[in-house]
Amino acid sequence: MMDSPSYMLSKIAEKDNLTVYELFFGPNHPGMHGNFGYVLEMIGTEIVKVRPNAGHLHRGFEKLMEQKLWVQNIALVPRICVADPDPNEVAYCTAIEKILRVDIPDRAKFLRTITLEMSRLSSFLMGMGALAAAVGLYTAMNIMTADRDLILDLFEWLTGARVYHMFSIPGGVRNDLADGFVERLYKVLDHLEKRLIEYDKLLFENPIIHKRLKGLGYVSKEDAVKYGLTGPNLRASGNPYDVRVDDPYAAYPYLDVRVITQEGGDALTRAIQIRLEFEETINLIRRALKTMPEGEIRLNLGNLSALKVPKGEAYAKVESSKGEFGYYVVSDGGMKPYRVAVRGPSLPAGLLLAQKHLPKMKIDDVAAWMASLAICPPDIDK
Amino acid sequence: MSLGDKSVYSPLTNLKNLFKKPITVKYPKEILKVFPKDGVSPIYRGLHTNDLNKCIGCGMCQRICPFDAIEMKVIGENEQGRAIKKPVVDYGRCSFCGFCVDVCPTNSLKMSRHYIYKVKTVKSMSAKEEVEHIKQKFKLMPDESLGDDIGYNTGKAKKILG
Ligand code: SF4
Ligand code: SF4
Repeated sequence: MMDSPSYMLSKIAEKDNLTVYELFFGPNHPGMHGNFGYVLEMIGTEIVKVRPNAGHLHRGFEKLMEQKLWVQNIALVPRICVADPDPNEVAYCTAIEKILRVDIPDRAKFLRTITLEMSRLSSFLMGMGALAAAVGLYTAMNIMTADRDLILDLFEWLTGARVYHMFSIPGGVRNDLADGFVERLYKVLDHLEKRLIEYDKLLFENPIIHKRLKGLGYVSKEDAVKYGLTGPNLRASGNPYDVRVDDPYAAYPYLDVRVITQEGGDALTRAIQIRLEFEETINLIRRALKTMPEGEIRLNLGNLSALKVPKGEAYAKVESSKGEFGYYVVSDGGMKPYRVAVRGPSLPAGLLLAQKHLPKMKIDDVAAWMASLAICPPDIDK
Repeated sequence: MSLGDKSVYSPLTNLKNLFKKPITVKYPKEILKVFPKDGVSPIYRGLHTNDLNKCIGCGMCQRICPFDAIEMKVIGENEQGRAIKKPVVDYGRCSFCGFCVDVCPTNSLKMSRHYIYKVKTVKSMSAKEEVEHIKQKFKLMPDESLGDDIGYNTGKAKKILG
């Protein structure tokens, strides 16, 4: 590959008696998520130029999906985002249901919503932990990782798997709630709510985080829209937009989702945004559990392994913890998708904003900047 | 955990760890003591188990598998001289999605709550032989059974694909 350097740090020029270095801030850096890299040109510790480098990130998801049956792809799509896999499943299934013109049972919608929100919680915990680790607060990260495990345990009871749940299928979901699941979920929610006090003390009220993140990576209200930011990043810049409210799917039309917006637009505001949305998500799951109806969990679409989707195309979007996940699915009436295009939420920040923000930034701040924008490279190049 | 004021003796509390059992174990000897299976979900999607008396060798599981992890292996012949085939699951490829279980028309294929797979290597083997050995061992052969601890199966989670 042309622009991937074979070295970590090398001197490339001299300028006004200062040495210009090139540093590969790549997958082997603990602050980088996934197989992604930035080639940074630096004078001292200050960055002057940045070149995003996708390296071995490309796993060919979109192409691969064209070669597999509609239902086989359910095992593939969650892998696009490890931390928050469920939005992929739901978006893919919703797109198929849109082409099929079917409406899934209400209980299935609620079950999807609950898994989506649980996935959000676990992803927020990972995100907050990454942010804490990026500024050296490892205690907070360890506690959050441990708490995330409680949610993974719940997923195991609900779906049979911890990380890749493969729970939504075209027409509904695979299992109903296991016995005792709701009580367990309430217990974990109560625990997480209590833990918030500790997270606040360890992280969000910590002077280190305020000093490091204040003013870092400022995105104005207009820029956020212009660059195409979505999710918490967009709302932390003062734009009240949330797919769950503005274009509701699953059970969100029946739930009252509170959109949290903040003015500020810097890394600190975005960190606090995640913290506020975390709290709101806990309440949202409680409301969903209370209003969940009884009934079927799946439409009978016949034998799914021989599912044929009629000719047509549809776009389905889902609000994930990082922003909008979109699936554009085209069918030619066959057993396999004709084309699937995925819109990942990290692309605008990871590729475009990086080139605006990173120059003039200190090398120490890159990891914190990435964590604050919740950049998850695997969805940049599918 | 409380974050309130700590006593001056608090550093001494670590001493009690001296008398506690260690958290680390000698793997794989002590593994079951530390990770009791009770904690595993009743519908856990772990290693497969197949009831050979029920399996009709139809190959549906092989066809649905998104990752080509199932191979139909000939294990004998029936009276009419036709080959009897049974599925072999390659865990180097399997993603534990459970679609093969969903699709099985006889409900013979199930997933167990076992998730630890260990392979004993022989010291005298060369590196190349060892790779082959592990490749072969990392499969669930038709004559192996983990049927004592069933996890995900179409009885517990209603049939969806068939
Ligand atoms: S689908 Fe079931 S019955 Fe058919 S070959 Fe596989 S395990 Fe045997
Ligand atoms: S669990 Fe999924 S990947 Fe594994 S053998 Fe069955 S169908 Fe294939």
